[in-house]
Amino acid sequence: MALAADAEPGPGAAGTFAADAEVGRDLAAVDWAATPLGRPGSWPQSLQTAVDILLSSRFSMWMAWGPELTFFCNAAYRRHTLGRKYPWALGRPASEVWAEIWDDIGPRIDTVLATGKATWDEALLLFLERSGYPEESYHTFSYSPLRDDAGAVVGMLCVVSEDTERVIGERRMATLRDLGSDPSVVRTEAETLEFAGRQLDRNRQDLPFTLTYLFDHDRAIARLAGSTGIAAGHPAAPAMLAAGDPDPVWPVAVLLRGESARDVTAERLAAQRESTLAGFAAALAAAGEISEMLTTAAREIAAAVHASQVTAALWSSGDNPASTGWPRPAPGQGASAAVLGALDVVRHQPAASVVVRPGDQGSSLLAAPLDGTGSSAIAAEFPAGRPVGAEVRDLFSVLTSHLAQVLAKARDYEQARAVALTLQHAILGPTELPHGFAARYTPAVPPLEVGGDWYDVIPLPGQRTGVVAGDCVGRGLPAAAVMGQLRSASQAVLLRAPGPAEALADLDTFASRIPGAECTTVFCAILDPAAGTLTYSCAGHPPPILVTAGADYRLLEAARSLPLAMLPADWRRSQATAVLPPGATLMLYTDGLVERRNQSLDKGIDAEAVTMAEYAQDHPDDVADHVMSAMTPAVGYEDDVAVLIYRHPPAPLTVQVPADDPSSLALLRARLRRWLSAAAIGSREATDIMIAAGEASGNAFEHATAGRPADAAPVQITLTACATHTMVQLTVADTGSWQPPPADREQPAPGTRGHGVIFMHALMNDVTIDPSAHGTTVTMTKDLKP
Amino acid sequence: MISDASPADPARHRPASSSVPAGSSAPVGSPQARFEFLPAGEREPATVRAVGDIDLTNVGQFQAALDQAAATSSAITADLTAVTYCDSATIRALFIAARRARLTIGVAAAGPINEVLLRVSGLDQIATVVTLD
Repeated sequence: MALAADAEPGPGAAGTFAADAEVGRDLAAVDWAATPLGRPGSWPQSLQTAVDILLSSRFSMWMAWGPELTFFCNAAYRRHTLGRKYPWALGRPASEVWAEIWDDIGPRIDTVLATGKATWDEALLLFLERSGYPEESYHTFSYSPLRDDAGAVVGMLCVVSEDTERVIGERRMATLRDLGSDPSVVRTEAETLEFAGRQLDRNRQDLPFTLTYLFDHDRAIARLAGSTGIAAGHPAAPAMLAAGDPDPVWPVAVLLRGESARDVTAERLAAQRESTLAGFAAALAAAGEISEMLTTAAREIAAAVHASQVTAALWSSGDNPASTGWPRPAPGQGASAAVLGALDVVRHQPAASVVVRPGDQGSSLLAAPLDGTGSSAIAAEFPAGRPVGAEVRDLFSVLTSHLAQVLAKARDYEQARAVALTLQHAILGPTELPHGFAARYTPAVPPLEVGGDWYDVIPLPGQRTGVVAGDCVGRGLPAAAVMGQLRSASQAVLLRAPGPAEALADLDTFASRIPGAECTTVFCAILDPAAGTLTYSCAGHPPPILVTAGADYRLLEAARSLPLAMLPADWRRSQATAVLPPGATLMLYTDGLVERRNQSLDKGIDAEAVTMAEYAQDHPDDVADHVMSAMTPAVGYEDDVAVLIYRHPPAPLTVQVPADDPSSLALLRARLRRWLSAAAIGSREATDIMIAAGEASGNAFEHATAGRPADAAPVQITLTACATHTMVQLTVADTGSWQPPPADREQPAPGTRGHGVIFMHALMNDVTIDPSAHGTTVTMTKDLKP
Repeated sequence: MISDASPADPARHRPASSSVPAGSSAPVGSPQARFEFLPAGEREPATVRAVGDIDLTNVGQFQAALDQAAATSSAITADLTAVTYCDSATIRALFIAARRARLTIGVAAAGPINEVLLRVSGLDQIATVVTLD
């Protein structure tokens, strides 16, 4: 026999179940070690033989073996009877598999086991729950005993054929026959009604209720003349039906036309499904990103199919999906193992397939894939006792198919958008600006994020910086394409050209070769922060504004010439140099900022300069925000706008205060705070510097007066600060004497003094404390992030 | 238990808070400091809320408010989200408070009590730090 080889110890499972590839695979997947039967390799020959016979047969069969009557079945039984309990049922106790009919079949099985004699039942009525709801079914079956190698009865085999269709068909024929019987006897109307009612009432299984109406002579009204299975006054049993009722409970008008009434439930469901789908599509269209779309879909599906929970899952990498759902899961609470299992099973299935599975605590699950790649799926959970009929399954399938289509489009769109944004940002230029710079950019044509305007800040050899603002003719994508080329070109020419005039001359040549680039306006400058100068040349661009720390302003109007590629052959571009006073603010911009209908450009530039001057000592980021909000027209900008602001390091700060005045520390902080923002120091670095300065002056405040004679001159604290474009240096000097600083820098015991010096070291890049007989000087530096 | 309609908002049920303005003169250009002690409510621990700059001149009042809170409750919160400046003096006051009660410190993400101060001082190891945006 084929099984002999498999009786040896070892895996063996595949061999034992070899008679049926599909059911065999699922049987092999059962954790047999966890059942009383143990591993298949250890099974007695008798069990192996029984399983082989079972799997080989085309008759519908199941069997049970061992102390728990462990359940097996073959492919025919799976198809005809087990339904959605497969493959869950394999390897479970039979009493669990058929819990709902165990009262009927349990005693029969006990009889077989006790007596060793087979049972026989014909067309036994059993209410199975194989499709998620109790279902009338009829089965003819025999239970026969299975014996182990020693001959003891240890199990049973059931061969079964289902008779449901035959039994129900015969019953319906009988009702029709009885209704038409005995036509020879002439009866009164009342007798006829009474006879028909009696016959109809005998078949409650197929006719849960019936209503018989009689039309009046004018056929306008039908009156209820008899009923079975339904209480009088029930909403479905009105005493009168009017033929002219536009929305009748029963379609009497159809009957009057001589047509037979049809069951319109399916049509109504179809219409309902159409409107549900339309609402679903509208809700999805309103959702933006994919995650929002999934949550919306979960909510809509839950409402449409009356599910208690809908869960959608996305697999990006690995086995653990990201899931979302409706109602929204509590934070940290994922989907149940049953739901995740259903999602995992269904995600690799072809589109539009729906899987039905048992969930937790008697609930039922419907699950469907959301794409062909196995990366997403959705599942709906229905509470125990809620039948999940074909119409619910169909609706779920329609909605999830639509969702799958929408998701596929959304994925394509998001990918295209990511490509577009990446390219736009590459065209636009630097996102990280060097210290002292701030920029704002507003393209005129949404949803584009680029336009024809640009700005650029280009580090050059010798600690110099190229500064450029430009404006191509036109708006939108064509202008942006030209802009991208000119911006790259201007970077290249600035790196090579000796000065801005030569750089613009090179750009003239370049622009004459690019369609659409001629007539672009450009302001091109080279900033030398150490020398405090700006050398510039202007190709038809609006003049930048230079505002001093004292709020005086002027326009950089020298070295002006025509836009790119517009110069007559014998013209040369010139350049000029402006001196940047300490703390000066320079603003480059494009004409979109100042150009208004019904207003001259000069007037717009004046308004802009006045706004800037008001904020001459604020942080450049704040200046940029103020300028943008002050200049924005009520209707929004009509053209692209680019703004580039540079703050030159301010003059050093010097503040002297008496150490014995309690308000001195606050005064020092206020002056330093203001100076730091004028020096364009970012808030994090400014906070570090403020605290370090506070620690140094606090030490001076506390100790400067220690041990001094009462008649000595009051101790003074002097704070100085100076900034370059790469660092800030701070000194705090006093005319008193300090406690010696700690010799080592280990942690002081919690709650003791001594954190001050440690903080200074932690917050600043370099700290030196220089005590002398005449006072103490703390010198600290902080490097500025480029 | 005395019958007492439980108010929806426990904060409204609290006794009036005591507020101590700090610093004799308002410093130029910096917010005047203020320290508020809020006794423990039904759900919140005793809280000291500080507003403005804390320095050597007013840290004593901050310390006093923390002492008051620690005397009434074994768990206290120092709400520093509205503090605009502080230094080692403030850190010292918080260390002392953390020895007397279980201390939670609320700080603003972009505020002056940054991660460097908390880590370098070790305060983050003996108190719970909650960062709010």
